[in-house]
Amino acid sequence: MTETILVEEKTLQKKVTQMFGEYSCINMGKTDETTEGMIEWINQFTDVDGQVEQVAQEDVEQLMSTLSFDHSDLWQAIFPLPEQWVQQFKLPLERVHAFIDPYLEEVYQIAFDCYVKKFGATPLTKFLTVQTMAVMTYVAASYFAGQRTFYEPIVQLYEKGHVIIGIKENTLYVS
Amino acid sequence: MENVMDVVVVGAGPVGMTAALAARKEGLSCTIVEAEPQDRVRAGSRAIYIHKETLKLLEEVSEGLGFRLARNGVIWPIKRTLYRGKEVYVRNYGITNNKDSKQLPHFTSLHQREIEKYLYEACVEAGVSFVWGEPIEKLDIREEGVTITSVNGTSWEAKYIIGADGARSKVREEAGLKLEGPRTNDTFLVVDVKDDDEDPMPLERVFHYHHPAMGKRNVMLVPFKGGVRVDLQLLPDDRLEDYVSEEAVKEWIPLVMPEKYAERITWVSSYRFHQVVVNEFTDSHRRILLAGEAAHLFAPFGARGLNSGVPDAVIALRGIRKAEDSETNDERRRAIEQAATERRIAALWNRDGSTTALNHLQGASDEMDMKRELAASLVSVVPTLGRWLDEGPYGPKFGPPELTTKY
Repeated sequence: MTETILVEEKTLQKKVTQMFGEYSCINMGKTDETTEGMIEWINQFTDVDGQVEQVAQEDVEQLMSTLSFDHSDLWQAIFPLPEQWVQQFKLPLERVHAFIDPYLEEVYQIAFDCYVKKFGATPLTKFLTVQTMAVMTYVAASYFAGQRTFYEPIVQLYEKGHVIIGIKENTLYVS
Repeated sequence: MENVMDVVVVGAGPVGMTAALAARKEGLSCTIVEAEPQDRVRAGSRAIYIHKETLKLLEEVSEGLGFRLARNGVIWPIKRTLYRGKEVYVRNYGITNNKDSKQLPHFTSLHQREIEKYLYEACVEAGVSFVWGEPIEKLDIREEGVTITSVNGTSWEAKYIIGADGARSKVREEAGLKLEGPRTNDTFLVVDVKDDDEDPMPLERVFHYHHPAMGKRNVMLVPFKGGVRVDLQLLPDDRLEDYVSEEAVKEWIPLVMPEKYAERITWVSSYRFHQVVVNEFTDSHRRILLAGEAAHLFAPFGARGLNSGVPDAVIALRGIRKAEDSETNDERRRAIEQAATERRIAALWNRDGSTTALNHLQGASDEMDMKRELAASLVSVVPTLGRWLDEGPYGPKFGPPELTTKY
């Protein structure tokens, strides 16, 4: 990371690095309060009849090939959010753009290392790495827009060793 | 003796005419033999885009030709990409002076019938002779040369034959060469409309992923001199007749451009693209070289058709010149093989580039669909995703090191 990164960016970077620290995906497949915290997260989309489903680690690979944004009110609710958040950024847009590339590179490195240790060099590792990069981009955008109800449950989920697998129709899959 | 030439080019399309100009430039005598009459109506939607590298090659084989094509085409300064109606990328290159006599532009866009007109004039000026209405029946290919005979019984003797006779190439068939590769699953419609000079379309290339008025279908609009080309990608379950008939086109064209263009349609065709390359660009005696669609067919994304056909022709003639200058038959053969090998590598790379572009476009791939959706959602935060969406339909830009040309 360059020295020009300022306070807000460093805070976010530290949060994300911690997410993949000691508890990296260690609790995948287990149900606990943190995954239930995602139910609150999904309830913020008031026009969506959404649900959260827990997936056992051994079922993730089969699930990933069935994921789709088709017929998903949940996805339609999420899709326009980044553009709305841009209007609410507490930093100049140029600073966010300058931050994002190195940030995502670091996410890629730490997420990949985490998953490859657990799953080896497999399609599952590739899928989870890419998925994590996408999720962390939404985390960054919502963070800079001050949207705590969006990013905090997600950060807590990953800090406790869980992951977001994806969306199918109005179900959010976590593990 | 009449009908004895260094080079006979079979096919009077733009690639054949380029080959003939290149032959004259190399000091070789040349005739073009074309199956159809001179005033033939050419089927298919044809090329509309010439890259700068192709303009440079044309300028090389006929001084002034590259600049003439540049002057008589249009250069759209803006490209815009939208996803379900949301603009995800726009780039304005500013106005290019296409009348600049010192510097060729990055590209020029004009219809193939216009390209052929300028090529024909250059050929006549260069002393290329044309023979019209003589479909080829057979080739007698020997180590020393070729006798080529038409269905009407006319024969020519040539040291070399350039097969630029298109997808159903008789030269390729007679040389025992075969096209290899798949066809695409998707069907595309190509519609050309004549522009309204009083109130033209904006000079912009626009690509719509999932055009909001066309369901999940992608639509591209590309201006060329005097017109606009509309590419519509159909979905796997679409019935072709619902989109391709004259009545059907008049119904959906106003959904993607101003209504008046429904009455200005000049061409409609549908395609399932082949992604094929010939197994070898030359025959066993090294007397035949294939060029253009006789040697390869790919989807037009990235404009790799004519823009690789022109270097096929130029490299072929450089090879023939080198063969003519060689002292032994082995050297001669090597010169031809080198040209053929280089162009096969180019064709495979172009085919793969076009396949990459097709995979990016095809709506049937769930993984790619999801990737594009995510990119479109995040583009305000990660602008480079917009560029990826914009560039995806064109495939990679730079070829392998074995190529001496760009395409």
